[in-house]
Amino acid sequence: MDSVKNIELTEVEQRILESVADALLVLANVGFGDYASRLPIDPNDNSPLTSLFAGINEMISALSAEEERSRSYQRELEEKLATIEQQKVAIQELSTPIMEVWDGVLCVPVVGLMDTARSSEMTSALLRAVVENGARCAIIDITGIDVMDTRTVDHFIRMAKAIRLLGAECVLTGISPHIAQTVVHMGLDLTNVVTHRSLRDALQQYVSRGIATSTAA
Amino acid sequence: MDGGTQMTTPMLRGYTVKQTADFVESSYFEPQVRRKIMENLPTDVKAALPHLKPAEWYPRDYAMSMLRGIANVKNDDVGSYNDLLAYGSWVATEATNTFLKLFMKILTPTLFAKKVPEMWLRDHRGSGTFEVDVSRTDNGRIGMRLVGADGFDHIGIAAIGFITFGLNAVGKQGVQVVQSGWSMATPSPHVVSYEATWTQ
Repeated sequence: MDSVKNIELTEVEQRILESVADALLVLANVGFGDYASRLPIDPNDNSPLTSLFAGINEMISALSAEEERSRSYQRELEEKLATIEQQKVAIQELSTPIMEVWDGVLCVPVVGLMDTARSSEMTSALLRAVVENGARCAIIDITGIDVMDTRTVDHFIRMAKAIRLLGAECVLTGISPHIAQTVVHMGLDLTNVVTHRSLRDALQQYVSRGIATSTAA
Repeated sequence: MDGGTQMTTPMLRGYTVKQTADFVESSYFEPQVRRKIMENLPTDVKAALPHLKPAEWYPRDYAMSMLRGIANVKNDDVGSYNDLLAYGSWVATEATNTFLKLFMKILTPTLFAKKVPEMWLRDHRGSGTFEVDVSRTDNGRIGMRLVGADGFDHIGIAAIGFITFGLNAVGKQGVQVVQSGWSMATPSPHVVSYEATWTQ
């Protein structure tokens, strides 16, 4: 094509070259994402260039429609992802319900899997609740947990230590026989964590302790 | 980006804004100069830069705030002219190496000059028009005028970079473009006139 620049062009050749330039400019627009450009078509002109232009315009229209569909899918996908994110937040909130079951006694029933992120959120929420409620005791009930590995145990130990630093006691309840076996089998050390067989046992102890304290006072 | 922005607001294609930012952040300026220009940008421009889409339209001010930064580095007619010229060549090189590559390949000087008004409107809305006189191309001359880009500071010099690059790209050597109208005191006159010449 370099030769085009160095030769004398006839008027017809110049017109053709200009038309090709028009087509390339429109295609360049499409190349960077502008699908609004179209080539001018003279309906009375039956030349091959007009047919080529019509073909290019049709191709751009098809691309434009496809692009619109793609954007629509993307919007839908983004909406779904936003919904999933909202649901995730809601599930996280629901998965760590902290209840004050007695004066100064908080209870957290844990259901499902404990990973690092959930453990961290649960610890933060529980520590906040201990301070806000002036709690003396936080009972973590793990009746709803089927499997416990070293990492999960480590999460609870850290949680208990943090609660003790705030001047409250942390109690673990609802340890299933299977989990008890696992803890022993793995040689995990839970000696620094107070445990009770069930939530009821722990509550009974703290409620009676509370009554005894108030009677003595 | 069109939504929410008045159509009377002069607009620019996203890729030109992006290329302006790329020039500022290139090795053309010293690191502390680059940082200063970018730090002085308005908050909305800073926020928009990472999300620009090439074909979408953005307020002209996005690029102009960077052009002012480029011009203010030297802040004199000669130094600022050279920096703005370098910017214009950079943008032209970037554009012609990508989207306009095939288009530039087939152009003659006359055809290039004829297409300049169209190429201007392709990237600018509400920033005037280019007028071209191609009657003297046989004598190695083209006259051009950028009319009505009032308020678009320094674009008149950036356009010289584009014209020079374009004429070089179509095979012309010894290209010189002389402008009248722009100065640091009048950064966006109503008319900037250009006389482009080449030796062969």
